[in-house]
Amino acid sequence: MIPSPYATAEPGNETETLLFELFPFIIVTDASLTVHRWGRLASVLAPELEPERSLLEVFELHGVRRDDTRIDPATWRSSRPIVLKHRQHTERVLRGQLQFHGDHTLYFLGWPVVTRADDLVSLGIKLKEIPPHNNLSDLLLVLRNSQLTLADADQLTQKARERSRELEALNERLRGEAELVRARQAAEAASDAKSRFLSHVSHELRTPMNAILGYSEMLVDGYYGAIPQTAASVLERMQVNGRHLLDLINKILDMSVIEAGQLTLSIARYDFRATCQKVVAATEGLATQKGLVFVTKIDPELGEVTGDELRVTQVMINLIGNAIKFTSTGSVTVIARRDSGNVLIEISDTGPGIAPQDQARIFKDFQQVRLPGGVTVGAGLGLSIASKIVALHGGTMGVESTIGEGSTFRVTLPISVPESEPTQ
Amino acid sequence: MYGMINRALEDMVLANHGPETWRSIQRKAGVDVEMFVRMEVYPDSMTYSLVGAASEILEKSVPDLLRDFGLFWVRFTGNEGYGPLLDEAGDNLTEVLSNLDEMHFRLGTIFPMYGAVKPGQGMQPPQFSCTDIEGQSLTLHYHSKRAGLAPMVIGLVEGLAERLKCTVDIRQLTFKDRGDDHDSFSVRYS
Repeated sequence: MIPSPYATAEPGNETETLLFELFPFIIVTDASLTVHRWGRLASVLAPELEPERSLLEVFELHGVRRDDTRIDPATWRSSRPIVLKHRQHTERVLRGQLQFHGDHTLYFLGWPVVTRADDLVSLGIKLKEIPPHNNLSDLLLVLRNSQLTLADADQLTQKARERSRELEALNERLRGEAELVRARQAAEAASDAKSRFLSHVSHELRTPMNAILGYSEMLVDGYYGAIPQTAASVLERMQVNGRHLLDLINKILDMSVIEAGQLTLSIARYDFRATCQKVVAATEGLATQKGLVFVTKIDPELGEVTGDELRVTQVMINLIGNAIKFTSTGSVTVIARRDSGNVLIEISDTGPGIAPQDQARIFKDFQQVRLPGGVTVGAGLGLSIASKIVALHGGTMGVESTIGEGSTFRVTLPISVPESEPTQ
Repeated sequence: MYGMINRALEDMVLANHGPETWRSIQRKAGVDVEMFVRMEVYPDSMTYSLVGAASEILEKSVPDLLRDFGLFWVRFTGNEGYGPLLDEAGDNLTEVLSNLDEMHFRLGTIFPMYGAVKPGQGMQPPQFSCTDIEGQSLTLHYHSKRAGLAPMVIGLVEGLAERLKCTVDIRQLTFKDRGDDHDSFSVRYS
């Protein structure tokens, strides 16, 4: 006969031999709970077990009345679940039943309460020591499977939460982007409407304005006969103000064309020196009328360049006109020369100067030059238009200025400008 | 196969080659599974695709990869809390290998889809038997409905030997894929 791995203690008789084999945690007491015999694994769990020692000294007994120190065989029901909890090692717990054999022999038949196979191993008990009829090891396996499944479910939940957060963030971003697109479209639509309106109004204003100026000039020239001296001076003021108004209308038209992205340069080859001389000729009189010294240094080797001559002329007249307008005494100097692959134009004056905080601002739309004392002059469009024309040529425009000493506007224009697309 | 198998393969690649390599293997295998649930059953074809892709990307032959995986599988299941179950199978390699079928039977009574209880409906576990047992040598016979996994058996035996703290020499004697009835192995340990 193969020796049993389960029962190695000292059973009292053949029946007990079988019980010891099937229930290796068996403990045999009498009705007074005095220990007499026990199975091998019971002694692994509770080495303190000794013959004639009370079971209650080694284990807390749960499932009977608290003050019971004796079990009455006449009233005892073996179906009541019993739990033995080791008094010193409280993690060592047995669950089972108390079964009378006759009136004097009481068997505790039970198994350890564990939730992990490792718990059993830590008690010094191997799974293979559990007889196969008991499903403790299977239960532990099922529990382990459940634990892993719960861990996986937890991990999946975490991942689902992460994905949810990512989707939420993505939605938020998309909502923000959609808002931005809507806002940009609205802004562009408003800007287009404004440009169209300005362009339309400017055209509508310019046509009658030209008629007014033309007829007033004809009146001054005596085309309609002699006019009294008093009327002549009024007509002259009408012309000055009319030209000013036309200049303003032209600037607004330019701005609306630029903002609508419709400004294109008419690129052609032209003699830059000749252009400079024409500009000087057109502006020199204004300077001398104000008693300013007008200095020009036009490099005779400037030669031909490609670009929009009309627009470049507009830029130079604007800059020289500003210099003359804002300078009360002293001089205005115009320098034009080649500088590497560019032409360099410098317009200097001895005017009031521009405060550092205003030097970048003045190139923006409707930003007027502020004179000492807080007085503002002009519509704030000339420099903005000029800088945009220079930028369309691929050039640069900047200013250096010191309050009380004057300003120098510096423009660089490439000698060769490619054909341009409409501005966007 | 249970997701635990695929998870173990993933763990092996992650431990030795990192997450980017595993993602490459998944992409090459066309397996778009973010996380394998260990107790979930996945198609066998998915595992085969992953092994094939891993073999190509890691530049290792499929038999060598399966042998490594067999060894890793024993370590993996031990770490997953099934060590005591393996220990239950025996104290030495002869006992453990002789009890493998018993262990699979028990798994079949517990794992819902393992199939040992409902033949033909479940996982169709392999069958093992030992003959020519003499001291610390034996012949291990392996029968499986799945093809090409014999190299994994070699790794498994090596993993069990490692767990039992012994050294093993295992050689394949018969080859099912070469027309033999089944795969068998000569196992010597000390």
